[in-house]
Amino acid sequence: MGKAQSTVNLTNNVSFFAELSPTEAKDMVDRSIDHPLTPKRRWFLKTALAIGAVGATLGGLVFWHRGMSNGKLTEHGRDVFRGLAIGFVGPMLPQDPAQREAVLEGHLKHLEVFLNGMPNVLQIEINAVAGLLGNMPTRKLLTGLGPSWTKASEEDIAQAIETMRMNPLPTTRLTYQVVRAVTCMAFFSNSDHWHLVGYPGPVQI
Amino acid sequence: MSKLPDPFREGLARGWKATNGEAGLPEQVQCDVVIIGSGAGAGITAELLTKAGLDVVLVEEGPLRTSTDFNQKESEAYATLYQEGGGRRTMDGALTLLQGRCVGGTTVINWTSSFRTPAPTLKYWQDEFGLKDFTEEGMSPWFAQAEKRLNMLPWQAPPNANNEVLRTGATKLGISSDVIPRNVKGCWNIGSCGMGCPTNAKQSMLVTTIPSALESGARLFYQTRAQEFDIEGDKVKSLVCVPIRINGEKTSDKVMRVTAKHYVVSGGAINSPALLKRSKAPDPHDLLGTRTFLHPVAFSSGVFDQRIEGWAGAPQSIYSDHFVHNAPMAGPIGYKLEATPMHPGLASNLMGGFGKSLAERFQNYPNTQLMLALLRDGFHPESQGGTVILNVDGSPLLNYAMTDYVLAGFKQALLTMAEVQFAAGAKKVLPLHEQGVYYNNWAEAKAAISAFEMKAYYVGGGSAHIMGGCRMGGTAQLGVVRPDGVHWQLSNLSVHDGSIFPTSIGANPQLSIYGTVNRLATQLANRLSGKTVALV
Repeated sequence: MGKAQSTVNLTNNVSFFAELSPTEAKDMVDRSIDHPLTPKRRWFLKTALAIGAVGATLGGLVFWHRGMSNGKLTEHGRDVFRGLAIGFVGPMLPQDPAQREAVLEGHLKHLEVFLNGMPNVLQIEINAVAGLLGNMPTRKLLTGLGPSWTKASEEDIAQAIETMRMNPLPTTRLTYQVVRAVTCMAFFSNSDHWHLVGYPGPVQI
Repeated sequence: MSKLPDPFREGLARGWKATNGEAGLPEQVQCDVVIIGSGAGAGITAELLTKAGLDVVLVEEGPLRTSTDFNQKESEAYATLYQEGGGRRTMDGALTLLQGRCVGGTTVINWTSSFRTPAPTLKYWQDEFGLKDFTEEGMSPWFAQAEKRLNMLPWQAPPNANNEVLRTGATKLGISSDVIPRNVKGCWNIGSCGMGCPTNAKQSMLVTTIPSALESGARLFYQTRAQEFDIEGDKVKSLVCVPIRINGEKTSDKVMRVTAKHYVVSGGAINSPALLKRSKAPDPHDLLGTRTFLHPVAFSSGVFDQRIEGWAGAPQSIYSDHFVHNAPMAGPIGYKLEATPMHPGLASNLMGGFGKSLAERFQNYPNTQLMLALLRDGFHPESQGGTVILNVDGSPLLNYAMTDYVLAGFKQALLTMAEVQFAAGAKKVLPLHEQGVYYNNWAEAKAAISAFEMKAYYVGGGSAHIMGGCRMGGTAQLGVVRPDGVHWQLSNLSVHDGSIFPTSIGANPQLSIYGTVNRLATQLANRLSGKTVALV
């Protein structure tokens, strides 16, 4: 029985290893992962991919653009959160370009205050998510969106958000839930936007 | 801003002792009893101990905000009155956790629903956790005192449309519903309970027991975090506190050391076990932080021809326990039906969707009724709750995974709510689930919901009721604290809050905390002072 055959016919492995020297057997122990149909190989590939993804993510967080710096949205943070606002609430914004831009600008200012009101640990997490969505490789991985959020069309943004929302990977679906909660809570809890949803505001006391 | 009188500020002007940690803390404080927290458990304890003549110090992590600050704006309320600026979630991010963090704690921002601990829950505690004195009869006087002290009465005004839908649907289906008792006095029925009551009608700790304790000489330190206990053997020697900003950031490395005869932890579930973990409190049976329960909550929106205006009026005034009463402990998870107030920020999260679908949902917003089902957690082998662990910075995390058993309960609850809403006349119903869309009739909704994939981040949910983590037990093997609230291994430390419950309650828990702590604190006051005191 040759070595190549041994990795295919797993049922014969016991007798095969019995014929090898201890050194050869040690070298061969994990060879079954070479077979495309074995669970071990699938596990190995998944693990390798996961390690790669984690490494890429960490690299992105350390070396690439961040969403906030010193309590202020960075240029990339503004790009991400402006794009997300268009994706989540775009159809509710005024049609007039100047008014629409004013609402978006107001939202980003309010968002900064909103984020600064959170504990540091949460700010770091949201900053990380903004980093993932702001840097092209990780954004592409998570959303399929190539160009920056500012350059993307509304249809592209909608597709990117849908990709996250129904993604097979739970972590990507979690990213959707986080950016949705942040964007919607900041936007709709802002009294400047009550008129857009038909909420009359509180009773005067 | 409310222009009505603000008794708390008037009290401060009269000389109540309240110190903002951010403005600077003393290095040393001595007292008879230091209470960590100022919510439901802390307030009741503070009132009783000061009535007994004890020198009490309260340490609260959150800010002091009073009725004139409560401007009914979600943006300010979540940032200042809620844990983690309203951003607290389970560690996996699947469930939003609404918990108060301000002087008065969650009692400042809850929706006032007041239920005694249900008899089956107490029976379970007796049978499974050795809490033999926690009978319905034994607890009744303690609940009755709390009800009287906090003016808990069935809501007398007509329910708002958001609640009336629940009663209408339940009646049409032949299931029970009833009026919710609320802890209010002279309520204006404006509906902003979740943002702090601007009229002081809600009988929260902020307007009842904390003022009473301050009037009797208690000292309050707010924006002051209880960092850790200094423990030697079976005794706490002191409590180390740090000053913080509203967002939790430390303002300096200076610490305040509080030395007391007795220490009461009332930081609430999640925070109380976290404080004990940071302090490396003895935990010989690995119980601390475990069995931390939620009432995981499922949501369903129903659109009606008539305006509902779910933001207006008492947030919760009608409930149905049909699916709790008819749910044996060993069977599928039981759930209580209630209504959810619909201010825009909260509604945006609970209606789901984005872009065009979210815009459509907000077009229906004034005519939308939002129902919730809170699931009874902790009574089944597949519903054992989560565990509080510490983050790298020492802040707490709740590791809570929804089991298939709990997720099956979500699906059943979504089915029930859709059926009730259609029975009440809904034109379309939207379950909070990523695969959910508007359904035009019950048959359509039933088929669709039955086919939902119940997996992480598809199922939308949250919880405003967090319980357990420092559970009571009849033996040291069964509990972190004794049935009298005293820590099994630390003789001068008690826990008085919702973290001592061995399971979830199966109903909104505030009265369960008041009643249970009333009993524990009355006994503690007697042990420490030799005096017999009572809430009323």
